[in-house]
Amino acid sequence: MTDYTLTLKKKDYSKYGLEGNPFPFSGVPDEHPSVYIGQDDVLEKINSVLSSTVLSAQSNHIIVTGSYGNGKSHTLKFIKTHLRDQFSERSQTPICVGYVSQPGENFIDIYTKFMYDLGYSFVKHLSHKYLGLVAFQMSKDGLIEEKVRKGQGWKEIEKGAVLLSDIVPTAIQKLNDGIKYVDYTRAFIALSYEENSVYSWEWLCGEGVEYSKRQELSLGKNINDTNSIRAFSALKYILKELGYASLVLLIDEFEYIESLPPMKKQKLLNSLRHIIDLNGEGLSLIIACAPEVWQNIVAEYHAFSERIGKEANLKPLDQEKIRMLLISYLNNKRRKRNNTFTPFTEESIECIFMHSQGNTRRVISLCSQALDFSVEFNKQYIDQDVLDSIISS
Amino acid sequence: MLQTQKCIETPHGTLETPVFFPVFHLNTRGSGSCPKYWNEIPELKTMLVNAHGIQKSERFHRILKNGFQEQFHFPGIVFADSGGLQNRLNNLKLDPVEILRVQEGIGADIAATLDMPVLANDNISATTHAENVKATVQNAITALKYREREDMLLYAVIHGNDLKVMTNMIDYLKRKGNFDGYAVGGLIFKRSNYRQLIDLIINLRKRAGEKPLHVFGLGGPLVISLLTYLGVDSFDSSSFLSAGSQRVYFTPDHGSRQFREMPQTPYLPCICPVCSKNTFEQIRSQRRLIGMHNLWMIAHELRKLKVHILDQDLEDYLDNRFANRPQIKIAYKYAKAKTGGFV
Ligand SMILES: [Zn+2]
Repeated sequence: MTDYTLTLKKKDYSKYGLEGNPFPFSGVPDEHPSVYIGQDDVLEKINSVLSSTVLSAQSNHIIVTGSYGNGKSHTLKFIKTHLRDQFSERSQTPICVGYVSQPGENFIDIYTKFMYDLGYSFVKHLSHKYLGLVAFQMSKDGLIEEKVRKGQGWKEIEKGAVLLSDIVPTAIQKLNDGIKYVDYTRAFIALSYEENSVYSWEWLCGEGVEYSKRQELSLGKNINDTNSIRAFSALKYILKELGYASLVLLIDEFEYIESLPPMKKQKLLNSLRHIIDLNGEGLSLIIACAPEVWQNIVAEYHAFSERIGKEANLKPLDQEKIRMLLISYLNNKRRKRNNTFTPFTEESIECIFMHSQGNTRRVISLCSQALDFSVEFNKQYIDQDVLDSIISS
Repeated sequence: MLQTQKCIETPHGTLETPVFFPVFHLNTRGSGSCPKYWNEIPELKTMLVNAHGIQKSERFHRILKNGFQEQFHFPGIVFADSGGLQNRLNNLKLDPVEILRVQEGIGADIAATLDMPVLANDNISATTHAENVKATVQNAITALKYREREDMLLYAVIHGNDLKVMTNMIDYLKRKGNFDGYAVGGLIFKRSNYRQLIDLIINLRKRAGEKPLHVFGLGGPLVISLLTYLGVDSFDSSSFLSAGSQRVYFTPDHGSRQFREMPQTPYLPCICPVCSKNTFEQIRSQRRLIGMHNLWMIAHELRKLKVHILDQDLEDYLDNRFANRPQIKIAYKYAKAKTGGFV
């Protein structure tokens, strides 16, 4: 046995004017990407799909294809972060966006991941907003004596200016008239309560909630694969009532469905088709998929692929785009932003391009390693030698 | 710790909190179902009666004419509950003002507004739940509007099967009128879920502000101690008597024990007047004696709580009090963390 001590050594990037290594370790996509370079036409296509959904209210969908490492996940996560910032609840046309890392085997898997990505706080907040909206409408219609201003309903309930029990029966009735799904109505409203809120949330996410707990909440059945389509549509209805311009469902790693038995695959695609048909307004599906798998789907499942409408293809980066990518990443950790790619040199960029063949993930990974190597061996620049050393190791 | 000692002024004297109201039931003939404890336990010059029960008894008009205190030779403070539970269970359609007049007429010191209790199986999504909460709120507001005796304290009753519903209710009532205090019902159902019970009481205590907070129907010595710690001012219960009927004896230091589980000894482990003057066998065989002893235990507990509140060492006292009672000890630990803001 040898003695082993772990020494934590902090690398010093300051000689390059950097506060740290700006390149994500081994090219794993950031949760909240801030840099998006080199795929302007892809972004443009996605933007046009989203804008027409928001502006014309008509649902629009797009498939994003690209080989492994060309930035599909990065694109989807970038879209999510961007939309949540720019189209938050406070904007004129709020958008609700949820990210699904992989489709799974059934639509309920997609639904569950989507709900978890929206998160407990957000959906609970929707429940509050819905009760607040009903309070506002009841006040306007003279059904309660208290004056409630628009958008202030839940605040008035929180203050005790409006009696919750005055609002709840009407809210339940109104919501159920809209979604025709009484269990969902109850669970959604119960999110606003204190004591069973967590169980309601689990139920709403499609997790099986045991019988005795369901009884306490007056919930008949758990959400199953078939009902998950209704549940998804119910949430979309609620968002529309609350003034959301659209709902964006991002599904990553769609190529996973190739591993499913044909029956399951067909069923999942049918469910998605169903979702598209049921929601002719205010829905955008953005699906990322390996190109060869998408070609198969186009060939075999027209009913689904026809409904997607648009395709955007992520291409490998050329040298110019690699330069821009480097500058953007470096600027993220620079004390003073500038338009150079130092400590990288022109020849190292060429070498990165050759070796990565423009694959974004490999580019980032090489840059990250090269920078660490240069720090460790106290190099002034990242040149051909540095890259050769990394590549050969 | 959320408890501060209060002095509540009433027409028949001052209440020093924490205070216990033994429940005094009238049978249809109009006589009391429980022993005249107030003659024996100087500490307990308090009583909780049911306004609807009195109204339908044969002696109602005599009580109205003489006043309750005079009629029962009871020189103490009367808390008149409304009869809401009977109202709900038997669909009596009682009128809040009529009940208020009974409370005022018999000379009550404190009156609880007519509630429509929410029951354990009333689901929060069901219309019944909302309707009952609304009726309870409306009745409270109506009582405040039509009260004639300004000296009688009026407590608004709080109900509901969820913390949010109940905190919203008390906030709403606070805005609608100046009640003299708040009384919380339906907590018997929550006894088994101590976290919910504790969260609820802490929230209601905060909202009640300086006003007295009463809890209906929870009145064993241990639960009184825990709720006192959380700032509840008054309690009522008939469990001392019902425990007596089931031969359950409140022990001085621990919880309660079944007589049949206790080894028969020449005397019992208590020196209250009941246990001092009677033998083990005499007490075991008479419900009334067990009931009276149990009431002594509650009075004793309250005295200890008062002393420790004044000495500002209630926490030390309760640390010891609950040390060997695993269940309530866990609850108390949670309550301490909660009031200290650690959870
Ligand atoms: Zn005794």
